[in-house]
Amino acid sequence: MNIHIAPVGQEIGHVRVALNELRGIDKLYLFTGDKFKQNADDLKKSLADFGVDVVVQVIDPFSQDSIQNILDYIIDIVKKHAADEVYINITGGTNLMGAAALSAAYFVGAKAYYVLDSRKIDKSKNKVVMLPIPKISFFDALTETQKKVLLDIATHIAKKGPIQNIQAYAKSIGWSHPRIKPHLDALEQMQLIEVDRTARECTIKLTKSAETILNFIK
Amino acid sequence: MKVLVSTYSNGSTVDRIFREQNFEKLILLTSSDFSKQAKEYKKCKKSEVIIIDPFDHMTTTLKIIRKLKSMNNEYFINITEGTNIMAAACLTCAYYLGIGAMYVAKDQIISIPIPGTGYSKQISSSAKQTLSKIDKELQAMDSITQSQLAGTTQSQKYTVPLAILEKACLIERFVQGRDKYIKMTVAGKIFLEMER
Repeated sequence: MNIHIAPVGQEIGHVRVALNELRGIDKLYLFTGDKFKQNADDLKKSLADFGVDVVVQVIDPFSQDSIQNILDYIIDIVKKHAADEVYINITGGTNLMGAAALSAAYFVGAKAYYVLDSRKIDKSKNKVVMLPIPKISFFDALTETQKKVLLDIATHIAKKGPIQNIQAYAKSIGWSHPRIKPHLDALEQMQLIEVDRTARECTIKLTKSAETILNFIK
Repeated sequence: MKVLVSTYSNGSTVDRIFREQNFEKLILLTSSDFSKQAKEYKKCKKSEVIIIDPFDHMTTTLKIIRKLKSMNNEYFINITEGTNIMAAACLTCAYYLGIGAMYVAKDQIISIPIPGTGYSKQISSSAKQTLSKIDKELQAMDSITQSQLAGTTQSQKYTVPLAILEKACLIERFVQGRDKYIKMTVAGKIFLEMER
């Protein structure tokens, strides 16, 4: 099955162009802000006649959590359709919605494209432009030890909350502080953990990037 | 030096980020439609303006990567202004290089989760060398076979690197007649630019 995901705002033309240009879309997931839900619903109705199954999801496009909500939404779709081809149309909605959709493509290695405005381009030009998303896993950038430490930290945080005493944490997994420190430094440098050094004891939390990577590899 | 790279159409978000996050330098990316305003804007800040085609993702991406790689600074990218394609090009650079990106929504600055790993570490050095060799050979032709790539050396030594590059979508292979040809993808070209 060919699954397409697209953000929708005021304009819906990009979805119609994609349907015409990329034949064989079986299921379409649209996400939109509350303000433009009607546009998405109208599109859903009009596409029902063409046999395209459309799902509409409302996601606030301007909150602090928007990016993460869109990422989680798309990653869940990709996981649900693991055996299918997933394409992400990043054209519609705000730059933030497009950015979140493109970010999801980078995290999961999905195909992404944008649709050029036919009023602004030469008619002979291809309206759909595929984006250069490599299928390279961010998790694979870590050494085996760094992977183990990151997974251990995630398990610890899921069970007990942020790590508040690095020495005690290292001891709990049978490591010494000097042994774990370089790995923590490397993970911090790669923006996968955040180390808060303002209090007497450092606090370790996972970053949104790490949560997203781990969510996808689970 | 802490440098803000920002898409620019009216400058409404640039000032705020520049001021609040203590940037020392500004690089504005804008289309020719807004170049005059961007250059005016430039006068009041230590900055430079790069004119890009707001509807050409590939050229814009390569232009930004070349620029950022030419200087050794700490970069952050603001993708709020300009077209979705400009934002997408900036974000592409951010993911390839592992640079932080942000978006200004109403009264808040939203960070986009980008791992600082970049893509370079995940590809072995032999695969990188092979990609570089493919690029060199493809200056004269559109596609190449594995034996043409190997030349007078053993072609089997390219089997593993080519498999890695294909799996990562940095090259494509297709059959024509009795031969299997190799072609570089756009992702491959950007990857190579990043490695140069």
